[in-house]
Order: sequence, then structure tokens, then C-alpha cells
Amino acid sequence: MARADRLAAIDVGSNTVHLLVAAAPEGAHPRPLFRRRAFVQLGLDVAASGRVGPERLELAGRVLAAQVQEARRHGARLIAVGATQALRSASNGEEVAAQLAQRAGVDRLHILPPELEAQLAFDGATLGVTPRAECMVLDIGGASTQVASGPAGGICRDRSIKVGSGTLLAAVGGDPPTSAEWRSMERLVASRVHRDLEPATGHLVLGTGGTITNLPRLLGKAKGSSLRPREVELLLELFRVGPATDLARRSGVDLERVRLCRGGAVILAQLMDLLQLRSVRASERGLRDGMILALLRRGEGWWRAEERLVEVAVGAGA
Amino acid sequence: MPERVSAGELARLTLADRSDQLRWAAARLPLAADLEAVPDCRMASRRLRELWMALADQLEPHSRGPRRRLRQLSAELRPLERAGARIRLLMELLGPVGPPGGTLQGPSTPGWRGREPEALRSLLESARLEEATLREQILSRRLISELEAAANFGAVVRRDGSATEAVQLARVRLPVLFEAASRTGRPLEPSRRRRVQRLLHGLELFSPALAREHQVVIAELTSVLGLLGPLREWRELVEWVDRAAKQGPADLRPALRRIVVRAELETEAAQESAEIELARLDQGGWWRTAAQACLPERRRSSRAGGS
Repeated sequence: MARADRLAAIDVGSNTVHLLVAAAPEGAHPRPLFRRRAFVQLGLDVAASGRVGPERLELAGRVLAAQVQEARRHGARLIAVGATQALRSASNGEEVAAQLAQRAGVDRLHILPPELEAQLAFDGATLGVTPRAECMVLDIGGASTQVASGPAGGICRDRSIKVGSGTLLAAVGGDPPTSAEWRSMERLVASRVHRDLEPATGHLVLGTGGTITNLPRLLGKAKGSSLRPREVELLLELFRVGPATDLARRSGVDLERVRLCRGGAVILAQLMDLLQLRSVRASERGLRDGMILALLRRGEGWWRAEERLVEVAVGAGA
Repeated sequence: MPERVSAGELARLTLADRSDQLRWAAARLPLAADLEAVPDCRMASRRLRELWMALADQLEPHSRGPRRRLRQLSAELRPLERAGARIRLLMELLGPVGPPGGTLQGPSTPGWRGREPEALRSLLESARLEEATLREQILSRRLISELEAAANFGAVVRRDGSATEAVQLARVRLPVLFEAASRTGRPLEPSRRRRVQRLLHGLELFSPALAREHQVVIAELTSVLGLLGPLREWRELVEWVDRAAKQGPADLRPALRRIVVRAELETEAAQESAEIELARLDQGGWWRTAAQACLPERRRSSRAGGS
């Protein structure tokens, strides 16, 4: 039996640099083989100064090079490397992307436009869902949050919100935050979330990204379980009454991730209320799985938006 | 030119008037629908106390006890006043058309999102319940009759009231009040509002003896207090809703937190307006000019002395 093709995706996010190597057997969904994650937190630099500083660039370069090597060691034929909001909004984003690509020995690090990021995350998260079933995917990243909805396997409508778990961590460092700090986080979220989000009644709602998938673990549930609004409120209360170190110790989740989960929970609580969601099912799949799918469909041109997507974007712009 | 009024006459004139105001305000206290009764009553009480303080020499010596008692009674009403202010501000947040009962509103209704209508309704119900409970606890027959008794205190003006001109007393009292009101240490602390308020009450008290220009000063102070008062109320509402957002039903908390944000924005707008207005007075030397304008004779004599 021939070995399945192997592909890799690396997502240079605002919080982490994350590698996924997947096997892509013919006629079946790609199957994750290997994951590696490192907290680099490019978003912290961007939130503080609007650009990625030299130390963080050095760290990101080392991590990315190591992950590319690891992907090759695992036999990845193609490697997709994409960056999200941190580099999108950094004043030196393009320059950093070029330096990182050179350091890692890849042709290019693509800075993904928000609508493409949302579509890729949507494709990845809904992989395995009955085709054409109406879905909504919430992707709480470090510096932005994507709300994408549409039929599984099809083109999604996306709202990109310029606030993420890292944005809130950069804005409020107190642990636990004071009452005023909590209010400033709520205020930041309220000011960034679009006023015209439509309720997602009748949709299968999936949550993707490290924050949403780890939140259930802080409540002692399995990673990737569903979350209801009451449970998100319970999490917020836990964050309010004690430091993140306590939660990290109890749950076994990395301290860095727990600290990011606090802001993620603030965002998720608001989105669940505004979108009138009864629950969110955390999905282990997401952006990187979408990048793997795109590699399968379009090869080296994985990062080019599909024509249908371009039409949608042009239509929305008009 | 101001009238020549003796301190004794002024005491008699104003005491009757201010006592009447307190009596009428106290009579309105049992009316639950009258949200202004409690603040009016506290205001009347402050004005009467200012009179007792400024014209103490014209009153019988045993007036000190009632003044303290009136202060205590007024303080007892304070929680009820706060509860009334909360209801008023929540109604203001709700706007002219509040959310309908029973159902959630969809996004097609401008202004309301998620469970905000439910959350606001729940807040309003809590505020009304709290107000009703406080009303029952605080507004005893004893309190109202004591307020009325305090209002009937007019009989204590001394028969041998001083022939000193009221303006002489104003010259002693008002500069102190102007000085206090102009202190800018922490401009938007509650104490600044109280100091400005005491100045206003003092000016109103000595009104018959003051130059006509004092009416302009009164109008300015009323305008400033109109900005400082809501600021305090908004600040208190933010804290109250914030508590509700932590302790209320879990399903409503995200919406309650957004309402806190909205109330904070209102607070900031109120603060900005108050700061601009106070800065205009503080930086332009207004307090000193106003004090001189209200006491023209003193201004003339000091000029004469200086030349």
C-alpha cells in the first residue's frame, strides 16, 4: 500500500507559531499526524509598539526554522506558511515575513488577508461536517477574531473583529485583574465587535483556535468539549477570583495559554450573547487544516483566494 | 441697588419660605410615583440648614439640636434618593421606547443587541424593587413627622433680632463659601459639588441683600451643579450595574457588562462636560469676580481704600 502524501501547514499567529503535518490519503480527509506549537507572541510587540521588535523576530525565526525542519523530517512534500493579524497590522509586517521566510528556508511566508484566513479556518473546522449543513465558525485568535458562517464545504461570509485573546492580555496584565481592568477589557471588546452581527439560529456552531479548544479544560472537561454560556460565565468567575497560575496548576494547561484564555473567554461570552448561541462545540481543526486542504486543492498556489472568494470580496466592497 | 434688609428681617422672611418648602416636600414623600419628592426634600433640608447656620445669631440658642437632627433625617433619605436616581438613569438608558416585555428583540431593532433588552428589564425591576423596599424601611411615619416638625421651626427667630444689615453677614459668610467652592484640588470629587451647592444656597439666602448681579452668579452655579449632579449619579449607576453583572443570572451577564460599558460612556460624557464648565470658571478667575459682583459695597470700599 502506497504511503499517503504528506503536507504541512505552519501558522504564524499573534500568540503562537503552530505546525501541523497531515497525511492526505487519496479520496479521504487529511489526517493529522504531528503538531508542534510554540508561544512566540508577536502580537504583544505589535500591541505595544505597532511593529515586531528584533528580539521577537529572532525568536520567531528560530521557532519557524525548527518547525520547517520538523515538517521536512516528517516527510512533508509541501509546506504552507501563513501569518495572520499580528503581521497584518504590524507596520513592518512585510519585512518581518520576508526575513522569517529566509531564515526558515521557505519560498515565502504569506500574510493572509482576513477573508482568506476566515475561509481557511472555516474549511478546516467544518471538515467532516455534512456538506452544505449551515455552520458558523468562531476563531478567536491572538489579535483578531473571525466569525464565519455558511454551508459546510462552501464559501463563508466572514466578519473579522480586530480583537483577540492576546490583544486583551496586552491591554490588561493584572492577575487577577481589578474590577476596573475587567471593565476596560469589556470596553475594548464592545468597541471592536460589529454592531450588526446576525444571530446564528439553526447553525452548527464550531469554535476553533487554541483559546476555545482549551477553555473546556479549565473547567475540568475534555479538550474540545462544547461550551454553553453559563460555563463561559463560570470561567470568567474563576478568572476573577484567582490568579491564572492556580487555574494552570489545576487544569494542566500551559500558564501562557491560561492567561490568553482569560481574554478569549471575555470575547466568547460577548459573541455567544450577541449571536444568541446556546453552545459552541470546540473543534480541534481550524486554520492549519484549511491550509492543508488548500495545499491539496491548489498546490503551491494554496494562498491564492479561490475565484468564488474573490467575487464575494469584490461584491462586498462594491 | 439691593434692599436694606436687617439680618432679623431676612431670617423671618426666608425662614418661613424655606420651612414651607421642606413641609411641602415632606408631604410628598409618601407618593411612590413622585420620584422628585426625596431629592426635593433633601434639597429643602439643606437650604434650611444653611439658613440656620448663616443666620445662627438671629435664632434662639436651642436651634442647634434641630439642625443636627435635620441633617440626620436628610441623610436617612439618601439611599432612597440614590435608588430613585438609578431608576431615572435606567429609564434614560432605555430611551423613549423601552424594550417590550416577554420576547427578545432581533438585530433589526436599532440599539439593542443580544439579551440587552432582557438585562435592562431585569435591572429596572431590581431597581424598582430596591426602591420599594427602601421606601418601606425608610419612610416611616416617624421620619415624616420629624421632618415636618423641623420645618415648623420658624418660631425660633429671636424677637430681639439683630438690626445688623444682612449684607454685613453676607460679607462674612459668602467669601468663605466662594473660597471653598473655588478650591480645585480634586475638581470632580463629590466634595466640590457639595461646596458649590453650599455657595448656591448661601447666595439664595442672602439674595434680598445682594447686588442684582448675583442672579447671574446663581445661574452659573445652577448650570455647573446641573452637570456635577448627574456625574455622581452615573458613577453610582456604573458600580451598581457592575455588581449586578457579577451577581446576576449567568445568561444575562454578557449583556449586563455591555450595559456597564454604556453607562461608563455616559459617565465620561458627563465628566467631560463638567470638567469643561469648571475649567472655564477656575481658569478665568471667575470665582473672585463673582464674589466681588455679589457684594458691591465691599468692592466700592476696597477700591476707595486702595486708591
